[in-house]
Amino acid sequence: MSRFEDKIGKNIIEVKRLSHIYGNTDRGIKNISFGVKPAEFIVVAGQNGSGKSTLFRHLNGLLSPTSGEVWIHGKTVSSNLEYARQIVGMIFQDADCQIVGQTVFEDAAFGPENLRLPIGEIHKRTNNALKQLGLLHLKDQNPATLSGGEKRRLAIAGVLTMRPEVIVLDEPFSNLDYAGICDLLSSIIWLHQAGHTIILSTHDIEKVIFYASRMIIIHQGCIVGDDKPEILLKEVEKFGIREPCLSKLGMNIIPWDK
Amino acid sequence: MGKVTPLSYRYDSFVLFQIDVRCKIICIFFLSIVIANAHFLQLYLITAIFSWLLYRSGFNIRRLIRELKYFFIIVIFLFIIRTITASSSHISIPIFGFINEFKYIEIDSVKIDLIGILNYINANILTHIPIDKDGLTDGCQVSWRFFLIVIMGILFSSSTTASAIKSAVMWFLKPFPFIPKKRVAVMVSLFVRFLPLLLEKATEVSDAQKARCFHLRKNPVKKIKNITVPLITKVFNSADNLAIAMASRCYNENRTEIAEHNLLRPSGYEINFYLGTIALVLITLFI
Repeated sequence: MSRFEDKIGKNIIEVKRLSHIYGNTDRGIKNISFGVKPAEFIVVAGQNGSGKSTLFRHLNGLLSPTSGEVWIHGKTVSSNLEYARQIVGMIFQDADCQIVGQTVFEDAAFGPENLRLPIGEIHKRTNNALKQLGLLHLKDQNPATLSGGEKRRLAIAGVLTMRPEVIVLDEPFSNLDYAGICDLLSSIIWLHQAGHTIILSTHDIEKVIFYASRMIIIHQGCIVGDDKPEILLKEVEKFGIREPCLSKLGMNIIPWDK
Repeated sequence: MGKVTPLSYRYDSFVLFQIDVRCKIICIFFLSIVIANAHFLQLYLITAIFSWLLYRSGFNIRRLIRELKYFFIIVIFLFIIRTITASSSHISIPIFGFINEFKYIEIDSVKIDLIGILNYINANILTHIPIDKDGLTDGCQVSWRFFLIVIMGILFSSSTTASAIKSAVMWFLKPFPFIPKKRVAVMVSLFVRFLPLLLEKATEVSDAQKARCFHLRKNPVKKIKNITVPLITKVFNSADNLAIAMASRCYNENRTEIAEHNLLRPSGYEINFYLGTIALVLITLFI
């Protein structure tokens, strides 16, 4: 039995009436509520500036809400930051900005070092994560020399070493070529099959919609749709998101990378 | 693929990359003193050693020279300033005698008396600037020393990770009880981490501006302003993003340091570096 299966039915994350407004503008997110169950694959779709990244940064306490609260396994994020960041691993849009170490190994080991794990455990977790993502042979290299796809995989390895239940990916396909996207997509599918809950934001849903079990549409900081993808697909263009080609042609959705 | 500047860390199997970082710091400390007091013999010797280290570390010397072109402008500037300030007498140099055949140049059908202008500069400006052999020697030595210090910095930062430097700083500060070792070490390692980033961002900004013919502008103040403002914005944004990424992976001061256990381990080649440094110190002191 997977270590996540015993929790099926209970929400890992509960977002309750969450708002975050930037300064004196009306930009940000407003009154957002939803729950995340184990092993879900959620696509959060929305135009640029719709509030996807702002929402994600509340899931592990990188931003403090103007009002509302995020709960993880019944604990508030604001008063349990370390716990929240361990459960919810975050992969940012710009892979370069999240590289902390000067070698691939150092970067992947950064999280477990912060969790004050014993040296042996850090080595074990880091080597495992790098092996699973096919980066072990590059462990002494400077991350700046990696390709875009390899950098994204390194970011995933860095998060995996912290053993998170939920992996949040903010626009993971931006600035990647076709091979890089296929490479990353197969890693994300593998993570989901390994039992991780995936929350992924994108404005181009075509690449991941086949694998998603749920879609949330954010428009101008509010949730305007939260249902199974096949139910919402015909409505997405109202909110500035491109409907997948096959759906437009009335055909069944097939995997983008096959 | 990301750009690797000369200051960026690179992995190599050469001994310079494998030796204990504490040994590198001790050698750098003494070599800095040697270079600061070096004359031509020592400068030749250290240049030969550094050239060999650069070559064996996998640096493409031509590419390195190309990437350091702006730094060479500073070296030349330093040479000129030092030569002038260290000279006490004047030497009459027939600087413009070789261009007698190009007496006039024509720009937009206007004839310009080139020789006249250059002779005016020679008679009214250059003859008032003191230049002598001692000044030239001193200028040459000072700029050469500065150049070697920078090459030593490149060799160090390209062969040493920031976490190794952090571990070494903490080790050196161990005997001092009232210094916040971890905080100082993090500050040093972040500074080293940000130096290549600064160069990379500067290149990005400069390339983006060159693509819009910025190099045709003549006003140096405007040039500096147009480079500096976006560069500072980019660097602050990068620092902000890095801080967020570190926070999302639970960064705190009370953490396990694997680098301390992995990197502060002598490789056995340290003795060669210590002996080489001692030899250079003795040569400087007694020759």
